[in-house]
This record gives sequence, structure tokens and C-alpha cells, in this order.
Amino acid sequence: MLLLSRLAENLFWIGRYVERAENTARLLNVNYYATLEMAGRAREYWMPLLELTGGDADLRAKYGRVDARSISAWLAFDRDNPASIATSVARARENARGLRDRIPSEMWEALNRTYLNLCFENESVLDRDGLFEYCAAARDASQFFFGIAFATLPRDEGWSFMRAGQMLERGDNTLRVLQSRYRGIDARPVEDPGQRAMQDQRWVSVLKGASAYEAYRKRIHSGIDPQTIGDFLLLDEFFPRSVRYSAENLEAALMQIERHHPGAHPEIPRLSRWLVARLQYARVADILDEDNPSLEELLGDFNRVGAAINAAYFQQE
Amino acid sequence: MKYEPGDRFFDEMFTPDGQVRPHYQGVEEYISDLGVAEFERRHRLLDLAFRNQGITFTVYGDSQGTERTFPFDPVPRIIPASEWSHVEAGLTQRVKALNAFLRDIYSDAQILGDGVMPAELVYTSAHFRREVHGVQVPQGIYTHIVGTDLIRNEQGEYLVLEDNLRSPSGVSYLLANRQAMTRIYPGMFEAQGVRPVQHYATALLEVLQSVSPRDNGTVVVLTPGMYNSAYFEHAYLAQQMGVELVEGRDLFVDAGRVWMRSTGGRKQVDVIYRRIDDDFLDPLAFRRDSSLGVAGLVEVYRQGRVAIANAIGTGVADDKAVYAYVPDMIRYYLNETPLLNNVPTYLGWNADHLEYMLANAGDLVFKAVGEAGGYGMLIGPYATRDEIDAYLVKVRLEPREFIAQPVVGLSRHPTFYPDASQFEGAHIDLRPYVLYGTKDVTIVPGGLTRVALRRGSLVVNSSQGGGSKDTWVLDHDGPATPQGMSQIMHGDGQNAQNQAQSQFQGGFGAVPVGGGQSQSQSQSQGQVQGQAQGLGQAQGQSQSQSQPSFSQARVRAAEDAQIEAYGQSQHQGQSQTQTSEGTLPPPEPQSPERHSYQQELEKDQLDGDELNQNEAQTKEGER
Repeated sequence: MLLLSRLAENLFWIGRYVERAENTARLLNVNYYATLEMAGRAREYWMPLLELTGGDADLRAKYGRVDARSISAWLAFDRDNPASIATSVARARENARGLRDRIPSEMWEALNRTYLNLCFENESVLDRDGLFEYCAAARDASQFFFGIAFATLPRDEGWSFMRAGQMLERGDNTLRVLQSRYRGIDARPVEDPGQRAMQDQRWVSVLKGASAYEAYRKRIHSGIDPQTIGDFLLLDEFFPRSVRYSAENLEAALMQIERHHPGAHPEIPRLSRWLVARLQYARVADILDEDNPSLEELLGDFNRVGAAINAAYFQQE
Repeated sequence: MKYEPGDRFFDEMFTPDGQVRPHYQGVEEYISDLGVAEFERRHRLLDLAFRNQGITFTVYGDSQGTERTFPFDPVPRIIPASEWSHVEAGLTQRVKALNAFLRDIYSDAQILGDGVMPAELVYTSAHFRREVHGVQVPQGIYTHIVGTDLIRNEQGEYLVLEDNLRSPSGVSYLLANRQAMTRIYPGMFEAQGVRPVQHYATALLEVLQSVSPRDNGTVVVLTPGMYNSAYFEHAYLAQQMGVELVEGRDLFVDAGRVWMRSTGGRKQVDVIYRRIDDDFLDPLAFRRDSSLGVAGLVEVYRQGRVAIANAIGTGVADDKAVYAYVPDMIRYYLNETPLLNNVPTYLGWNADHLEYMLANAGDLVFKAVGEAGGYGMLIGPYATRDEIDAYLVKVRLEPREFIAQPVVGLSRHPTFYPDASQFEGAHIDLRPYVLYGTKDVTIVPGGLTRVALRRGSLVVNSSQGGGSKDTWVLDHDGPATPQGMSQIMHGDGQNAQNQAQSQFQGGFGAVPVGGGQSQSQSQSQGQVQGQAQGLGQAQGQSQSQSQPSFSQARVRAAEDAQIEAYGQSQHQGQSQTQTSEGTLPPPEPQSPERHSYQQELEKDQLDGDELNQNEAQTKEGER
């Protein structure tokens, strides 16, 4: 079954953008509601979120202030922010539009409806306390979309490219969230009990931002601890949003693609398996304490896999 | 839905004394029974469905929501069988002659040698492509797909306004309109004898495959990309035919063949259904700045290793000056009398005509032969003396570049106006789609009816407030005999069960029916049958009651259920829209009112393919 390079690229980026919209929606939602009970301490909540979506320079330039309201608008609706929910949805939809003849029309219509509903909003949503609904709608739309794909998209190469994009984005996102948290003041438990409670709350937000809170509680009974949370989000074998799980599924998708072109691009299995091996055999202390590999290196590994996919399948003659 | 048809224009539904024409009786009764409120409700469902499905066209030069749905009016345009067979025969004849003409002028040009038409007109046409002179096109076919624009004059006579021989668009709207209509107004179709249209994609693929240089060749649709105004159509046709939709950058030429880039390497391409104008096809042969085409494509085409549909250079035959000679072509090549007439046309190229044109400019519509979409026009009766004088300077300078035609008042058709909640007459045209294959000519019954929704306007361009209608061709001349329905109505009590079942399973598709209530499709077939039986029994018992009203009610109930099911399928988008108010993009502001004439019907929006080739182009939104 033939797959045009351009369409493979479209599918890969649909996977990435829809996943990205969902991730941003989760993080924003959790963060926004966490800060409501956390007067005056907004900065520790919001800065990591801004860092992992490209910093605050453009936001400052546009809004002239950095507060919960401007950040929420920037991350949710602002089409000038290349990482906002609205931008991600619009780009996913644009890619899908280039695939209208290829993907089931239900998938296209789901994305098109999401676009019509989410991409023409502004701060008035905040005025009517609609941010929760907005984020929930974005998250639901992503799950709905992938659900339709799961149920209707033929499991050919195109599916694997979409899946690869989704998994790469997910692993990348979780790593960035952890990176921003371990770089900040919360990397080590603080002593002061009052401060400690707040710090715990922030870590709970991290878990919730990855939909990992309930799963973590069920699996780890030792309570909220930065190291065990890192262990869970990085290396858990069974939690579907952990970095390891994402890498394993990325590798599986790439192997499916490889089956159509055996041996044509040896760099891809080498890089993706190397990434998986690191995540399977490293211990959390190796990563967080020894930087062996560091979070940066793991991110670099994900990006190298992405670059290899691009070179092998999208840019070839 | 009555209104005063008047006698200035031909009215499609009503005779001048206000009687409903026989072939419209079924629809007129249906709509009257439905009532305006229900008609409106379903109208809104239609809009929503089009929006969610993204059946849109692109508006150029509009930064925000650059896509709009094509306004749709649900009152169908109806053509009776005998009328259609006349149109069909006329179109077939015309397309055959045009093909013979193209074959001729790109080889020996006998028609010019025999003095039937002047060589100068042909060779000075901007769309004559010397690059393909002498090329043997596969199967001798030039115009695989033709979208002829027809209008009806004040007497109801069908006239050809324009032959679109390059890459006519709009057929996807025809198909989408029909599909939506059958879902939202299923009862309107009951027993009316409407001929189907959905075989278009199959027929198109057959035509394209038949011109492949290799057996079982690979067909692709070549699009300028998703920002092109007609992109929805390109994608839709590729999807319906099951072929790849490619852009120029997906293709390349190597070793004398055309290939497409895939994740598994290159794959040879044999037939290209291109929706890109000649100028942009190949930067080596035509415009060098084109990034939409494929370098080297024309050379492969000359070698006969790839087929291109429509062939390169067909535009010469829809040049407005050449158009005037099509009736002569029909006589010359086919030795037949033309069945469909042209709109009378004066050529600036002809000195006598020119003199008439200059003298009567105030009564004529002038057009530049190479222009399209209402550009380069002068409408005499509505122009000031200064405008006319200024225009005539250009005409005198380059008379070859201009033609003139008398003003023709397009026929009118009842159309629903939501702002007034009533039906009014609006002007329409018709674009049938003609497929010219190796074996025969296929014309999907009907075509795309475009309607000038702005009151009094004769312009059907969607950028000028134009919309479209479903177009029905009947298998009779009307009125419809309610054959199918009367069998169900009058079946005897014993057979009622079976008939009821067959009605619900066959007549209304897979949607279960439950006495007006909607049910989800997931419910079991058994239940449907049970209910159908129940109805059948009820019918058996009610033999003595007045049958027509009973069965009408039943048909209505069944229909309601189906509407409901369709409504539910659209429900998600709707409810989201409702819960978060203000989520919709604001309605586009209407472009300012502009008065003009049917002559603007031509190359307009539907030829976005041809008009808006350049990606960078931001010319205002003709589509």
C-alpha cells in the first residue's frame, strides 16, 4: 500500500499536534485550578508551564503583564502562541485537511468540529469562568479523535506514522514537565512543614497534569515524594503516559513502518532501541542524581529519533 | 409557497398564470404539507451538516475564517425527462464537436483550411498551446471532463453560455447536495422518480483509466494544495475514486517517466487528473515561476508516457471568441444541426460586428475573451456614458479581445428566504458535467444549479451571494404517480406485515422507525421488525379508515425518525456550540451589493481552479 511522503508527514504531525493540544489542556487546567487555592504563590506554578512552552518573552510583549489570566489566555486561545491549544488544534486540522481523501471522514469531521468550537475563542471565556470547560473540551476532543482512529483507521503505515507522532510528543512532553520541575525549587523536599504541604500539592499537580495521580496512588503507597514521582513518570512499565511507555510504543510504531521497508533506514531502529534500552535499564537515581543519562540527554534522544524519521521518510527523493 | 411569477422571466415551477408545472407538483405538495417552520428547522440542520463536514470553499484575502460553506437552498430544481433528453443530446453533440475541433487544430487544422472559421482567431487565442501541437493524445480525447454553463432565456429555451473545457469544478457540491437532501428531506424523494447521481466518481475513474498509456495504470488527482478554493472537491473526488491526491511537490520526472514520492520510494504515475491550469503545470514548458507543477511533465506527455486530463491546450476552444463558432463546428464535423443554441454573440474581431457593438454599447454586455469571473466586463444598460466611452477605447484598441452579447434574463426558481420565512423567485443557471470517454459520453443526470440568492440579482457567484440547489432529473414528465407508496398504502391486511417490513428496511434504509420517536441505530433489528409488524397490524385494522391520511401520517412518522437520527449524528457539534455561546466564528460580512447580469455567471467561483492558481495570489474571493 503506497503512502505519499507528504501524507506520512501530515499523519505524523496530526499525531503530535492532537497530543500536544491535549497535554497543554491538562497542564493548564490543573495549574489554573491549583493556583486558585494558592494565593500569592502563582509564580512557582506558572513559570514552569511557560518554560516548557517556549518562555514568557512573547507573552510579555503581547499582554504587558504575566499573571494567571494572561498566561491562561496565552496558552489556551492565543493563535500567536505556537504552542497554545488553539494553535495545536488548528495545525492538526490543517494537516488533516491535507489528508481528507486519506483518513476516515469521521476523523476529519471530529477534528473539524473541534476546530470550529475551540479555535475562535478569546479571554471572554475566562470572564464567564469557562476555562475548565474549554480545557475539558480540548482533552475530550483529542481522546475522541484518537478513539475514532483506533476504531476506524486501517492499521497500515499511515496509522504507524500517526502513532509515532503521538508517542514522540507524549514522551517529549512528560520529559519537559519533569525537567522544569526538577530544575526548580521542588527538586528536593523542603523541611518546613507548611512549605512542605504546598510543595506536595505542586507535585500532585504534576501527577494530575499527566493524568497520573490516581494511577500513582494505586501503585505507590509511600506517599508524595519527588524521587518516586520521577520514577513513576519516567520509568513505569505499565502507565501509558510514562516516558518509558511512550518510548516503547514509539519504537513499536517505527518497527511497524520498518516492516514495509526492511533494512532501508538502519538509523531508525538503532536510535529508537537505544532510547528504549536506556529507559528500561536505567534507575531513577541514575537519571535524577547522576545525570546518567540526564533528562536533557533523554530529550535529545527523542529529538534524534524525530530527526531520523524526518530524514528517512519525509525528505527523501 | 406561491408567489407571483410575473412574465418578465421564465419561472421553472409556475406557469405565467400561477399554475404549478406538472413535474413540480409532488415537491410543491410535500413542502406545503411540511409547513414553513419544519422546513426551516431542517434547513438549519443542513447548514450545520455542511459546516461540520467542512464542505467549504476558500475565500481569498480573508485572514481569519478563510473557509465558508456554499449557501444551499433546499427547494430542488426539477427537470422532466423529455427536457433532459434534449439537453443531454445537445451537450453530447457539442462535446463531440469540440473534441473533434481540438484534435483538428492541434494537427492538420482542416477547419481553418476549409474557411469555416478564421485561423487568426484560433492562433491568437491566449489558450492555444503551440507546445502541444502534433502531440498524439491518448485515445484522441482532449476534453475528458466538461462543465457547460447553461441558462434559460425568457422563453425557457436552454442556451449555452459557456463551455468550460479546462478544469471545471463544482461537481462535488452536486454530489454533496444530493446526499444531504436525501438525509434531511427523504420524504421529498418518495415516489418522485428522481434519477440518481452518485455514480459520477465511478464513471470518472473509468474515463481516466481508459486513457492510461499502460495497462492498469496509476491515476492521481493533482491539486494546487489545500489553500486552493476548490480543494474540498479535489480531495472528495480522489477519495471517492480511491486514488492518491497529489501536489506538484509529490511528483517528479526521471528517466522519461513521472513518479510520485512515497515512504517506500518512487512509484510511476500514468494518468494525471489535473486541477491546475496549463500555465502552472510545468515550469520548463510554461510559467517558470510556478511552484505548483512538475518540471519536465510536458516532455513526458509529448512522449506519450503519461496522460493528462483534460489535455493541455483545451482552453482555446472555450475562448469567448471561438465559442461563437461552436455551432459551425457541429455542422462541420458532425454534419448535424445544433440542438442547443449559443447566446447571440458579436465578435470585435469582425469589422461589421464591431461597428454594431460600438453603436449599441448601451444595450449590450461586453466581455474580454480571455477574462473570467466577471472581470473585464461592461454591462451597457447599467454603465454610465463615461464608463462606456472608456471601455470602448480599449475595444477599439484590441477588438480581438472583446465580444458582446445581448442581455439575457435568466429563468427564476422558487427559493426559500429565511429572513422573510417565505419563498421567492431567484435566478438560476445550470452546469451539467459531461464525461467524454473512449466508449461513450456520460452525463450525470442534472448538474449543479446555482442560484442568485440576493434579491433581484442575476449573479450566481457565491462571492456575490450565490448559492446552489439540488438538481433533479425525473424519469417521467410529471406529475409523479405515487406508485410505490400506493402499494404500501393499499396493501391488503394479510400482506401488510411484509410490506411494512420492506418499507422500513428498504424504503428508509437502516434507520429504525418507532412511531415518530427516534431510536439509536444500535438497537436490534428484531425490534424494528416488531414495530413494523405492529404498524402493519394497525394498518390491517384500519382498513376502513381513510387510508391516505393514515399512510401519510405513517410516512411522516418514519421520516421524522430518520431526521431525528441524522440530527443526532450532528448533535455533538450542535450541543457544544450551544453550551459555550460565542464559540462560532462570526458570520462573514457580506460584500457590498452589486447589480449585474447573467453574463457574470461564467467562469466565476466554480473555476477557482483556473483563476486562483498562484499560491501567493490574494485577489478577492472569486470562487
